[in-house]
Amino acid sequence: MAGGLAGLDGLARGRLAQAQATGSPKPGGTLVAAAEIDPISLDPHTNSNFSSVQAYDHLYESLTMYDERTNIVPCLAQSWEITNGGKTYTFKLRPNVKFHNGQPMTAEDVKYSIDRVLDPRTASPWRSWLDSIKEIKVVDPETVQMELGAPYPLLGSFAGMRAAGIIPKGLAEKENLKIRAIGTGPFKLVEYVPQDHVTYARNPDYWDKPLPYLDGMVFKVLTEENARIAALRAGQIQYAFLSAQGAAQLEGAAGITVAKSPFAWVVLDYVNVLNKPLSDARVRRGLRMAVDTNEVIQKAAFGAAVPSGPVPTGYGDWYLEPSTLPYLKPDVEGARKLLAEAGYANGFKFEIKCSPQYPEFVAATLVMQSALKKLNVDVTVTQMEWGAFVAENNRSNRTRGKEGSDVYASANTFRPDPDGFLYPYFHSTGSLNKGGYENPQLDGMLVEARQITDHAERRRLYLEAQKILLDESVNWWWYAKHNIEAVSSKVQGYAQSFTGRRLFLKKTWLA
Amino acid sequence: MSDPGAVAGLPSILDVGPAAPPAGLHLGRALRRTPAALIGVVAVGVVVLVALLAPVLAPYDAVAQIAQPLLRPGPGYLLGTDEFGRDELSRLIAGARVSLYVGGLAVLIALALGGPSGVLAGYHGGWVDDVTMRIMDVLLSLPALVLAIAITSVLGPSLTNVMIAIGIVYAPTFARVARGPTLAVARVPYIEAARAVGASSPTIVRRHVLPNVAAPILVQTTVSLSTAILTEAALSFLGLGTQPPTASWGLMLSAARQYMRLDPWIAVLPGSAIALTVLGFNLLGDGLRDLLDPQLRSR
Amino acid sequence: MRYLARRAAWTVIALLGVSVLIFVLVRLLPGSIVDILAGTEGQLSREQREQILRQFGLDRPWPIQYVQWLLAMLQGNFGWSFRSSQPVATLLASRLPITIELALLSVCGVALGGIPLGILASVSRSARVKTLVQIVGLLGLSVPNFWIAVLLIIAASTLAGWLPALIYVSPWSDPWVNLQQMFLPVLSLTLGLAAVVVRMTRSSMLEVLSQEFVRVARAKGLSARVVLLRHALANALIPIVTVLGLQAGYLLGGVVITEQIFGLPGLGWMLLNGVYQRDYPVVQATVMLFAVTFVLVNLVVDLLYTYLDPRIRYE
Repeated sequence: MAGGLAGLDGLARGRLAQAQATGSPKPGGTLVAAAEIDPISLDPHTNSNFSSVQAYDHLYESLTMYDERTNIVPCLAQSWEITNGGKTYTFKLRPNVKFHNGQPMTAEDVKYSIDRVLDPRTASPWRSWLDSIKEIKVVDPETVQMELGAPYPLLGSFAGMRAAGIIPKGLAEKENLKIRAIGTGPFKLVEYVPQDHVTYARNPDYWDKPLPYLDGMVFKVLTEENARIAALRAGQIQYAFLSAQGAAQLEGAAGITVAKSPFAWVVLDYVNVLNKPLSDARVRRGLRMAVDTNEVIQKAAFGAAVPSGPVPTGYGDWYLEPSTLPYLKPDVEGARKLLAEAGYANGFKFEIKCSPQYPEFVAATLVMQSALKKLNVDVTVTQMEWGAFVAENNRSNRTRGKEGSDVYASANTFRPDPDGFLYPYFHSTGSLNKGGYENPQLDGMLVEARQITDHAERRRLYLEAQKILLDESVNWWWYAKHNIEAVSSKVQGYAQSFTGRRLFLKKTWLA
Repeated sequence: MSDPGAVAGLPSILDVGPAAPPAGLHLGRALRRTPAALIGVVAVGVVVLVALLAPVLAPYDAVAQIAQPLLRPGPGYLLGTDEFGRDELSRLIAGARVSLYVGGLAVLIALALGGPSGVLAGYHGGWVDDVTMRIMDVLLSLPALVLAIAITSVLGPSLTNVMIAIGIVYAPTFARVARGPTLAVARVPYIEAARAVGASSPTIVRRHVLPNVAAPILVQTTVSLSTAILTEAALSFLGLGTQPPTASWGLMLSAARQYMRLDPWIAVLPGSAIALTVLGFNLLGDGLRDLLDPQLRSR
Repeated sequence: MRYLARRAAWTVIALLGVSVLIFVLVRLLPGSIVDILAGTEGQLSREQREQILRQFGLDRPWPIQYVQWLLAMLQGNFGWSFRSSQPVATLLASRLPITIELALLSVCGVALGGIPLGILASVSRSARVKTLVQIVGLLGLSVPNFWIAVLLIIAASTLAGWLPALIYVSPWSDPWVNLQQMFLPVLSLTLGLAAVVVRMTRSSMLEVLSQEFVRVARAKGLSARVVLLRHALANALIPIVTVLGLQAGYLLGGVVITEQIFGLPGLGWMLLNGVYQRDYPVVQATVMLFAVTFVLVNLVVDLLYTYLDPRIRYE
């Protein structure tokens, strides 16, 4: 398989540009980059878009963060203690950290920020990552204590940054955080023109001296990939995120390096297990079996992906080895048998909804549609405008699958803990359980796994849970695609992140 | 997206009187005089023929993924394959059907909505004219693309709904085109007198208005057909036009953007097909105008 | 005068019609700002959803929302964007100049390119020239404009190794950079729209050239060129102006795709995003702006038409 399994070994795990680093870092220069989607809003607590995080990552930080190997390392919290059976977290904050306005960061700011996320009035879509916290105490200006209702892997929630940025106390009441930002991050916000660009300037007081090296950055929104490629070639930008096809188009361009590494972007189909005949696990298995995973990888991701289970391939040691995944090779005969067993030898019709906002998902859907013809299964592909698609998705979430379509083509982005890929979707009371799946045995496993701290045991439980989900083919997981970023050769010291966030621009310099 | 307000050419309001004589006799002579129109006729003819004979002509199923993706033209797949391994030639042929279908139905809807409105407005004048034309203004002052997107989103994504959306967006243009000559005819003393003595309006409309309206409407139809094809392409670019895996030239062209350097064929082919068809309709429209505009015929 | 008054009254009614239409249409779109905020991966409880709706005033019945919006707008208050909480008036003010510049430059380009070609097509004796001009003029119209835009970008970066600076610079601060930034988008729009003007000029000239007073002028012995320029062109200008007016009105609303591909922060792109993100205040205000502009441009063109051609009378 080109790409696919072979690709996994060949990937340089985030070691971009360090091999070619010429000389030592030098400060100065402005990096001009292209963003593929508008950030929508810079408020670190109130919106759910991945593009948002990518934009405010440079401005805000949290108690913990990720390193190049996606390990959780200290950030605004210098150290921590977990006591009381995992229900009490005590964080010692890093001293002498200043916000962009010069104000020192203290425990009060941490309490304010987390309280804001937990406040139902804020309506934070990622509140569930922190809602195990029942109380936050300011022990002293440099110590924060959090009491949890039940044990939960909290450290990841902070590093995951979807709703964990630390802002100065009282800021949300004074400023419009959607377009203004005051944080502790390596860069300050100069301006955000919605739908157009974000301009950053170096934070001279940044705690992790001597970072950052760049004087500033500009991220211009260019949704058209050809425009990003052209800008790279013409030297107008020094960084862009590309699709595999885009990278292939860039082949041979002088002065540009393209890097690939594993990425927590799992393309999948959410299946409604309440609707007949998808309610029959044999049917679900048969449908999945009939499709050639490698063909999906070739046509949807242009070969730049690896097969994946529910937890993306490459994520710590929480994922199932791709070579051990079921459904790797298509088995049409086996599929036919299963469908016949379930009483659908003559096939049936069902619908897959997708959105042109992500042509990748549409492509995967088309491959499936084509493959299922062999089983006399007629797939209706319905492409919906993004807002309409999201609305439908949410309706399914709210009604736990009682109202909603057969299948949605979508993806999962990075979660700070394997729990995030499983619990909300497959626990019978999960808030993202749009398929209506209920399995008491799995429920028990998921609840237990979230509450214990023994890594080996957690790992065992999560691998077991994934096997169950794959066996019953609750969703159809296709692949984890590669993180492909193109940088100009002038850019040194940049490392890719498994999270897909541009975390290491703070370590980058221009030659 | 192309301008739905493209008015084919303001007809001369000085042409009045009883129904104009048929133009058929001049056809042959005129075609020889304007090679451009001839090219238009041939181009449109080819496309229409291909669309009609599509099921017979296409070597493979246009939506079947049967071969290696991005094959160059060669034996077996005469024009190569696209990014899903579907036969490009079959898709082009199927696309002719879709383009003509979309364009034809959309223009039909626009004609049905706009034509009678325009005639009504021009004939009755006064407040009927004001109301009708203001409604048309309302439709026209909404950005066409946004209106089409809104309609498609509300009605749901499907080819039919795309046609309805485009049809509604184009209706005001047809209303305007129909209104002009109607207005002129209605003002002529002969006609005013006839109405004053109670001559039946439908008869007047049939005998005097329609023949004068027919020519500009016909020309506008060909023009709108060409812009409808382009509008469908624009909507497909935004993902709101033709639904995959249906083959439409606009969708094929839009999808080909990602593969420009990797396989230019899958862009060049649908792009040329669109250009040929749109050009053909435009030339045909120009030729028709030259032919049917009595002012020009008198030269 | 009476005509103006009546026209004005109907215009107001038409604008009210637009306001109702866009108000309803945007609310008929499936989903709302709540769905956009939650995305596909976020989780919002029912209370939170209702709270957000209340925050944006979307929980009140439609007629009340409409009246509140209308009254506010008439007082100059265009509301706040759901997405960025910025005043919509500010957003409009910052993006309008870009779209206007794009539209004006395109109209100039179309006029400068289209009119001479149209004249050529109408007066040339050679059938070959006429055909060639027609086809060349129409070629730009025959290909989808997103395609022209993408091709231009690729051509510029590959053949010339050049692309303008990406962050928009206003013509007041740096005219040269601004011109560079406008060059490709204007070119793409001009190529697409010139055909309409070519055709209009051609048919209009043909019509005029065949008329009585032109023949009379030539019989009087005036040189062909004088006849051409002074009489024919002047008269032919009427419908040309009409079409250019329509183009300008259309351009202000229809350059969405061009703005998106070239990354120009104009009104069209903001409107499209507003639709996608269910940002009702932005969509409503922008559409009203377009409508008013369109209607005004129409009025001016119609008046110009009357002025230029006294044969047309409006009762």
